[in-house]
Amino acid sequence: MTMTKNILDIKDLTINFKSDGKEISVVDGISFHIKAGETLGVVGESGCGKSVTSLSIMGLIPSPPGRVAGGTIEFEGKNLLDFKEKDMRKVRGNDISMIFQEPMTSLNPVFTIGKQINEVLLLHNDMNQTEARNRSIEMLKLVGIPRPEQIYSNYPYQLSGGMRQRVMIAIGLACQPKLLIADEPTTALDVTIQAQILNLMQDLKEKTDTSIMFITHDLGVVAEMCDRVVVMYSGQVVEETDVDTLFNDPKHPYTLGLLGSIPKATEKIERLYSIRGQVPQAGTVEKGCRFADRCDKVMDRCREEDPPLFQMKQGHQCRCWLYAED
Amino acid sequence: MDKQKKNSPFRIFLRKFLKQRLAVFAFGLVIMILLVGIFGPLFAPYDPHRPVTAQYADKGIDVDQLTSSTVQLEGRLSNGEVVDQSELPQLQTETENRRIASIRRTQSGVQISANTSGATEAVIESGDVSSVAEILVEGEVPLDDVEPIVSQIIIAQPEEAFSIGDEYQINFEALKTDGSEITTIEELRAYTEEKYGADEEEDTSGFQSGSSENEDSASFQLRSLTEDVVTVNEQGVVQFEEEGEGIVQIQSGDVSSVVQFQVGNEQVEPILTGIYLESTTVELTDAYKHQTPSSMHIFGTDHQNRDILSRVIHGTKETLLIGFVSVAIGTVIGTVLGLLAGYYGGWLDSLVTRMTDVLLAFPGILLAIAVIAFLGAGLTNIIFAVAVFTIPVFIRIVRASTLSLKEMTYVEAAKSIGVPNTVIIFRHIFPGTLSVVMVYLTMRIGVAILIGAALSFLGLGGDITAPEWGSMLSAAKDNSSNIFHATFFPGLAIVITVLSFNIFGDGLRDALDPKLKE
Repeated sequence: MTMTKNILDIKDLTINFKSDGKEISVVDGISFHIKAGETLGVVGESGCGKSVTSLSIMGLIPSPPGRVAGGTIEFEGKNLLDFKEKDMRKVRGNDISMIFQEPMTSLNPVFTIGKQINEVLLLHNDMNQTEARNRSIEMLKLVGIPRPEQIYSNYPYQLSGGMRQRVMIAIGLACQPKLLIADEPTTALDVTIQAQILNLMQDLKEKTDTSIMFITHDLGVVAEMCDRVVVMYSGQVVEETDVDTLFNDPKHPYTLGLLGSIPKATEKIERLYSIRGQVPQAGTVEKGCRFADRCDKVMDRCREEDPPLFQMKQGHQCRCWLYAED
Repeated sequence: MDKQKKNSPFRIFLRKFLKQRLAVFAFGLVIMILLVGIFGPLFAPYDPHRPVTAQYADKGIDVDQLTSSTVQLEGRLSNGEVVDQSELPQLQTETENRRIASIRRTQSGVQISANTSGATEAVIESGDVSSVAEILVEGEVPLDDVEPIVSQIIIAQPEEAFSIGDEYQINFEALKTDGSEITTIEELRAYTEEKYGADEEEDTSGFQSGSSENEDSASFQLRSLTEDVVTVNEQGVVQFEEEGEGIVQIQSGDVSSVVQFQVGNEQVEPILTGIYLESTTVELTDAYKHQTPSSMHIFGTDHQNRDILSRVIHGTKETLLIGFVSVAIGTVIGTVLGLLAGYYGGWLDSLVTRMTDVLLAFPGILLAIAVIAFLGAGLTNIIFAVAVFTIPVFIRIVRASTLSLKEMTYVEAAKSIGVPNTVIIFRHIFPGTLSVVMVYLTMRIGVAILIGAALSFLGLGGDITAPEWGSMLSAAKDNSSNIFHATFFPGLAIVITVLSFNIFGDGLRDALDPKLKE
């Protein structure tokens, strides 16, 4: 892979939420980057801070109770955290856009599909209604919606889930953003539609040269879609590597556990593997590795000291005492 | 394409709404009330501000025809000849109670004019003979218990001449107003004592000075006016004493007739023996106040004789104005505040919510009265007062649905494409609250009309003479014990309007409720 510019560079991002008067770090000093034209997979269990991270990139952390406590989010070299709300609004939808998990509720039920695509176009471009309409229909065609002229004037309830997700993608890509954040875009869809949507995103990425931050907990989807993967656990990045290494040579016990939890079609086993225990509630682990309680290879040191990210190979990092060099 | 149209939200809503017969009916009524409110004044039969009697001339209706009646009368002579009323000597006419009706002579008879409702009698007198007409004026005072009275007495006039020593039994008929007759002296005496005797007792304790004269006319009399020629005993037997002209009078209170006898061979001049009325009962309407519902005034008239139908029609505009404008103001302010409080949260939410709590702590009417007390009476202030107590209700419901709507993914999606907050609030959240707002709007209009009417009723509406339903009720309430229509029709208008709006709102709610299956 050629050395390309980082389109998004997150450093030491910490996000705190206030709850019962206490501030709790939901995202704790994470760093990762996305190169231009790259698809980054962000993997992790529910509640590990994936969605909060993506919202913070958009500047949409609900505040209060949440706030960004530290770190930087650099987009094309500029720190988004320094942006004023007005400037941020210009970035949203134009440079960075987002696709959500729930296609059934992501569209406003009281407006036609066309109106909702037009909205983003008219907001960020100097267009008149006819131009916006033509562009919208073009986008609908691009995301593979049959009879786009007719769908244009339909209401969301008249569309199936897959169709709605296509519309959401059309809205997301309407202004040709540089970064598309897809927050579990296929979770709510059935398997055949999932494949269609993933293929579509793959195609569109190649056509438009958009970077994608792909948030999911489905490792199969990661294998299909991503170039690199960030594994998150309890608000921290525990492993970062390219997708081949992740599947062939995973390091972190949590990653191993995740991979082990995938049922294989070739084997018949009594019981599916699962990582024992539960994700600790944010802010409850005071010292040591956050995964220590659930880890198969736990050592005494794990319970005492918080492991740093260890550099493994080129571009491979892992947060585990197993790989301490000393 | 057709199938899609069939299942559009609007079609589904329409189908669900049309299933509710009562709500559709109420909707029809609401439309009708609206039309009456807008165009009604053009069709109102009378000016609501002026008495109808003053308007009859414009409409080509003769007030006199309604309120007065001419009674033809004639005198009968002893020889059977009929004398026209204009030739009757010393004709005197008088009504017993001039406040109720008055009487005067005209070319063709006597004209009786009603002044106010009630029952009285008109006495028409010429010399020794007199007749009485019963006058019934319909209106405020119920006339159900009016007794029939003796109107005229007809004495059979003997044609032959008598000689001294003869005896003659007088025959007479006392005609009552209900058509029955009294033919015996005992009965007539008893009737007279019952009718006039009671009056007499009152008179003695009263202020009237000429009581002796009254006594004379107020009792039963059977007497001879020419004592030296004829005498008459209590049984009505006449004895002839001398030759000449004999006259016997029968008097029952105000009614009296005479009979003439010729004793001996000398011809006597015929005299007037009785006054005969064409009609003995005069039924009139009191057209000056509280006319009961009739074909001319379907809803009757009020205490100032204004047409209630016209006032109700004119009042519709005012009532709807209060209902719509106040609720519109309340809805707009309440919805905007509710949206802002619900969307932004924080101190703004706390402030708005506390204010709402304070306002809702007062009962609606009390709050409205407080506002009126502060601002002074008047239509605009009523509108403002009703709006003030509508605001918190809307803040509450709009805030509640905003709170749930702002968590919807499409709101987040809108944010993620860079839509400004104000646009999100009004384009993405506001339409979601519309269904609740619409339902509440219709419901609140009913309440607002009721409160508006209540405030007018309490005299806080400024002009109490204005044709407004509440003030109409207020003005009519004092007479409500005996006048039904003056309170009934404005009240009915309020009931129908409020009920229509509420039932319509109810149907709207059911139709907009997605949980309710078709």
